[in-house]
Amino acid sequence: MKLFPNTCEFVESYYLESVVVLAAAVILLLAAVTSPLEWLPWQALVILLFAIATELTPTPLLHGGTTVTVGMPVVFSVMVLYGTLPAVLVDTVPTLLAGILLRRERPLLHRVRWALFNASQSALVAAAAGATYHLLHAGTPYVFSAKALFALGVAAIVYLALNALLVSVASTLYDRRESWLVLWRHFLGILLPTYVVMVPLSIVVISLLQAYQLAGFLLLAMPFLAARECLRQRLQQIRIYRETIRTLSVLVQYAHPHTSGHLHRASQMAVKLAIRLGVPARHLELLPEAAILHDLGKIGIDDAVLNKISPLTEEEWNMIRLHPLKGAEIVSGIRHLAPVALWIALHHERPDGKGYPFGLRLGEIPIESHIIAVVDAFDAMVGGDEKARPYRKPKTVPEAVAELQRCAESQFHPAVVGAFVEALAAKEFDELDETAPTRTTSVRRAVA
Amino acid sequence: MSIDWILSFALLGIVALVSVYALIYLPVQTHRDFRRMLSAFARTVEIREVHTSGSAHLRAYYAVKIAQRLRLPPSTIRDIEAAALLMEIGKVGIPYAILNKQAALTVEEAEVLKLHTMIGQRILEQVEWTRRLAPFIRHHHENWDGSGYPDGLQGEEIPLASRILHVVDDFVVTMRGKPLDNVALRWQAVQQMEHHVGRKYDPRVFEAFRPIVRKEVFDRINHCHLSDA
Repeated sequence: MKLFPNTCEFVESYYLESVVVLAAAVILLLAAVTSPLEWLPWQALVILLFAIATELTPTPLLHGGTTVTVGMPVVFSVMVLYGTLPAVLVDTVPTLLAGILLRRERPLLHRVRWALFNASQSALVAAAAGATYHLLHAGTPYVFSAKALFALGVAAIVYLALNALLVSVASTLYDRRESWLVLWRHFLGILLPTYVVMVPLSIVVISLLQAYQLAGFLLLAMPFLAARECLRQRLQQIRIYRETIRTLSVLVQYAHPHTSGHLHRASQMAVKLAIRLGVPARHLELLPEAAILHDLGKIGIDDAVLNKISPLTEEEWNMIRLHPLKGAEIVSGIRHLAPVALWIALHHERPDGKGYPFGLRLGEIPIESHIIAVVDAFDAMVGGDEKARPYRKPKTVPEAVAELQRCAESQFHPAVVGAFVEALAAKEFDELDETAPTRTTSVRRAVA
Repeated sequence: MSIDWILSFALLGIVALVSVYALIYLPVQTHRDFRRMLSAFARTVEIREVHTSGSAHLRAYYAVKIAQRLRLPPSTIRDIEAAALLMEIGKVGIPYAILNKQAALTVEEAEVLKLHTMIGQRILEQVEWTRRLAPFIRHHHENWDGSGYPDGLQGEEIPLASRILHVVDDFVVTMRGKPLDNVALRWQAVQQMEHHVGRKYDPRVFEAFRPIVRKEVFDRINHCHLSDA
């Protein structure tokens, strides 16, 4: 795994870029004055081509722009078996090519600068690690010994620390918000856990290469590629799923003018209640979605009826009573949301059987529907969605709790109301986040 | 057989299984997830606007056919298909009474209805993957001669996808409430639309659209003829 800064704009601050590029140029020049056949055995060349191929078919992970590349184990095995310069090439050339050839939507100049910087920092990092390894383990070929492993470990630490250092200094020069030391520690924290896996993996690759030459490498490359493809597809599915939820939650705002604060508060309260009530974990992660989307069906209801202040006629009530089913109908086709459709369909059912659409009784309604009913009612009563009910004065929290307790057994599930009161007493609802969770990553991470 | 051989075969089998899973099963599943997501959004609008069930898929079907006849690249065709499924999404922001009014709309109501292009654009701009479709949705009621809304764009200024969506949308609206398998009505709809070529529709797009319906009509007549014999 290897860090790359995620913007190409930061190289506007030319300073560090020029230093890094110059240093890398010197290293490559030294390589060029000697004959290539001396320092680049054909096995390393094949590995280099493999690295280029994988790097040019990157695996975008979610929105952060993280990619999966061959990365450290390959670089390290080349470094140990064939020397530092081939390792520098294996680390540099794919990065350079991928940086320039991929992400065509960006201007060419930016891509070239960005790729140049990343390739140069790769060269520096690989060269430093290689120098460290061959200094500590001079001259002798690799054998599985304590001395070799020690050299390998130190080289890995150098690789990790220098990579994080260069990227953090570059990021600091770019936006000057945080000191490079803070960023460096942050990056080290991200990278360190993956190195625990990467170093043993490097040892395996080295042993395979030594025992079976390239056949051993291919033996490992095949499962690696397949696993990478699995990962890519899975992440793609997660992305589609997240975006579905995002879009639907945008649509909910049109269905019913909840403030988005109301929906996010309701979903967080729902999760806290569910934890208290011992809802199974796989339902727990769907509950926020259900809480946000529970009124989606109101899209299919006449807004004149929804916003009517005077009493509704029987016909209008019948129309409103359809909204849970309409919401479930929209959600039902989405594979991950199958249980959510049921909870949405039943979120207006009541323990006493007077709810709608079916008039189910206490034991027949899923607990998740009860939870949604309680948090929605509570937040509406204390004025969480003041935009939706402008004609009603918000209640205070004790008044709302008293109302919930009065309606326990008839309108709400008593156990859920009980858990709600306990959670309120334990001050669990005090620090709710009103805004949607946003993930900002300041680095582009490359997972090996 | 030695243990080495058995191990090698086992390893090879595992690799083969994982490859099939990664290269065949998962992509199919991903594609299906994506289609289901688009369908969910299409259903959202169909739930609000009564008697439009299935019209989004009809739009997508014709939009893809036109795009294929125009020999557009596959990625563009996929975008156009998604845009066809999402094009009416702005109607969630239009009052229910106007959307489902049986009688003719008043001038003010018609103006409100026109807002659905802009609302749709705004919704799609809020989500990353649909952002590039937003202009297609905004301009899908622009006319070729510049008399459309919301911006009164003219000719090639209108994105090609929007010009395709415009033809497809009008066809689906004309066919609304009529039995879709009635070939005479389908051809009648095309003939009605033909009056507006060059005024409302891009002639090139309509030239691609006409043969599609004509072929469907012919196929159906042929098929009936054969099965009767």
